[in-house]
Amino acid sequence: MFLSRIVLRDLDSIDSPTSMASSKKMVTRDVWERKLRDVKIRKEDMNRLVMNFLVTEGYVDAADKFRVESGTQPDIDLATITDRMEVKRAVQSGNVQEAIEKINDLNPTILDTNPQLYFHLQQQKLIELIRAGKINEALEFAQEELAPRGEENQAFLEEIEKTVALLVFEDVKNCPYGELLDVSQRLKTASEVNAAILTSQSHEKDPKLPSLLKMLIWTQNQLDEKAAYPRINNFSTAALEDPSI
Amino acid sequence: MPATASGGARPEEAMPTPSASTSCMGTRPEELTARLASAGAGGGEVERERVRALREIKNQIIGNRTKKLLYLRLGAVPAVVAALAEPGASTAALVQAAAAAGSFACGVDDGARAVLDAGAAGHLTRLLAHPDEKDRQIKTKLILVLLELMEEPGHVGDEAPLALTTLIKDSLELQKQALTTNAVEKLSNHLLANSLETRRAVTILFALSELCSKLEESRSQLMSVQVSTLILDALKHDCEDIRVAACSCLKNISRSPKVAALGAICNIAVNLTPRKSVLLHSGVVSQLVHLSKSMDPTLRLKSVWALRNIMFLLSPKDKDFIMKELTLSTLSSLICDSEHFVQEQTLALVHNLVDGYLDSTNYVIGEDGMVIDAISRQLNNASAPGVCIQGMFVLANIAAGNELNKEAVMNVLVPHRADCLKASFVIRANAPGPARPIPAVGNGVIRRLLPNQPDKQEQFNAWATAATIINRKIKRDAEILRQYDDHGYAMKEIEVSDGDEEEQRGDMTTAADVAGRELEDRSS
Repeated sequence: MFLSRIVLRDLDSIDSPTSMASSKKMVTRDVWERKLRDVKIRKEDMNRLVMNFLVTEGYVDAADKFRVESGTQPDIDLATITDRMEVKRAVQSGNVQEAIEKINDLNPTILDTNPQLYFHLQQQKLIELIRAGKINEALEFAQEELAPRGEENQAFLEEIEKTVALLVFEDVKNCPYGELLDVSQRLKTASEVNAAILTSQSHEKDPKLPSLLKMLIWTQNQLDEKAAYPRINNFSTAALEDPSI
Repeated sequence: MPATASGGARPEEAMPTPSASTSCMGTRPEELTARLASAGAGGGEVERERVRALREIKNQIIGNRTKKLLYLRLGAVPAVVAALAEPGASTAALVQAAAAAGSFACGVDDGARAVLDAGAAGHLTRLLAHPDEKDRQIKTKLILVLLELMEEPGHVGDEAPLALTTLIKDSLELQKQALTTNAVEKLSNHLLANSLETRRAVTILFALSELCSKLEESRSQLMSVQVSTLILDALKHDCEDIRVAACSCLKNISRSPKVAALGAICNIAVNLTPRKSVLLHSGVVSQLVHLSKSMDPTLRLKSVWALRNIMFLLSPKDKDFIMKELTLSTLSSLICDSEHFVQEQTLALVHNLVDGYLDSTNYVIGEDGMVIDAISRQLNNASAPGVCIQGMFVLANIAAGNELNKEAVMNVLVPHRADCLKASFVIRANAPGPARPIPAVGNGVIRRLLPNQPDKQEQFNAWATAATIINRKIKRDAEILRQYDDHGYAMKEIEVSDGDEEEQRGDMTTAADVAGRELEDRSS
């Protein structure tokens, strides 16, 4: 990523012909790799990135083991992670009421000061009722709990409509908005809960690693306009792919 | 930082959350409100029900403006706030009530007003100031458990007192609680029943020390005869840990205001030679006399010590004043006190009494010789060298008086029954090497005053000199000399010269003065 920026800088300073296609500089794999080797990064920085990721995502045991093996200190007390993870796990398993009660035990102000989170949790609860086929209860719940959320805050109305719409369709999985029934929806809610708890503990809610990847993507996109170079397309392998000419 | 309600409330939270079969809505607000309004704090199941109701209300209203307004309309707020002030409420109930009250006030103006109107501010402030009753109950139970564990053999029993120390550290509340559990007594008994040589003794001493750090009552309990003797023994123990622990105890005992005051008085009396009459007529004497009869050996010691210092170089009139307060019978019993350090100080007091005051010997010999009898008894029985020395000084001073006095001293030293001959007064002065066989008392004393111990040398010499002086001042008959010879006791060969002007003048010089002269004589 750093290298891309260096190249970008280099390119800017060069006076090149105007044509879009021919103004793209070509960087061979050899050159690229040589320049890569010149870039220095510290092991400690990488360790901290890993630790930050483990801690933020809530991998307590991994974080502890990593602490022991690498000597890297976690940036929050590992004990607080357990509580947070219990909440997250509850959401991921679809036990929303349990999650709500646990959050309230942990910190009663979180849901009171996070209307969006509260709404999403209630929405998830409705989704779970629908998933379980408890239509009557779902209807009652929608009326008692979701409707008032819409009254309290108009911004939620659209989401409410989508969720309630699930009740109408026979084949719920394949209806429009069927993605709400996906596990990914649970994960999304869980992630939101996680972030809220972290914030309440005065910790950054996002790990740094995704930001780095995003930066990489952005930089590559920028560089794409000016050069042809070995690109990383697969972020799980981070393999360099030769530039196509 | 999150306001974790998880601390104390967790165990109570391990209750079944509404299962899938119950309504997904939970209990109806009307029902919950009614339930809460009717329940007061109770024990066991009743309290758990109350906690459940409070918790459910809390969970229903957090984040839910609509529900808050509903409960407001139902009049639930007063009941929730009242739960904060419920006497005997469990920690869990208080936690849930506080969270619920807070939530009612959050984001809903009417809610905030209702909460304040119900008096929440006062209750919450009070909760901040007072320790958790529940916590305190738990800690008291813990103290009892630890005291039981102390009886266990092995590592557990060794460390239990240390855990107790940590538990009550710096907490007046808990030390009060410990009083109710008789912790001091239990720990002391264990200490008395077992050897000092153990790790457990050390940890117990530390626990006792901490128990007495803030409470006078605990200190008094600790200052019983047996325990303070034990602590004083511990102070002299070979093992450093034990000495340190004992010091800690003593430090805390001496926080007792009485003891501290006595210490101060002692020091004042020592330094205050010209102004002593001021001190005397301030009523301190009667207080000191009163304290000299205390159950606490430490208090007795300190009060007698103070009197001793006051007595030093006092005018005869003032000495009379003190003796009137003190009375001879008290003096006699103090001479025969159960603690040797009290005996020693009392004899020093008598020494100061008779020193420079010719007629004061009447105190000693008068009333059928109550005091001199006591001194005699102690010299016959005493094993502590300090007591012997002080006793000897007293006798030396008395013997320097008139014939009557000399006679009295003679009776002490050489009672009519031959088998009570106390050769402790006859010594092989300054001779190193094994002592010749000498009756029990003397043997012990001399052993402790071995000449090859430099700091003991001085004591020994003073004592030896005092003894010699007595022998000199009292005109021995040959009969007695022969008795000494028969028993094989060597004697200090000193010329008994007639007409020692000092004696005839009746000048009550101190034994030390005479000893000094003695040494001069010998060297010349």
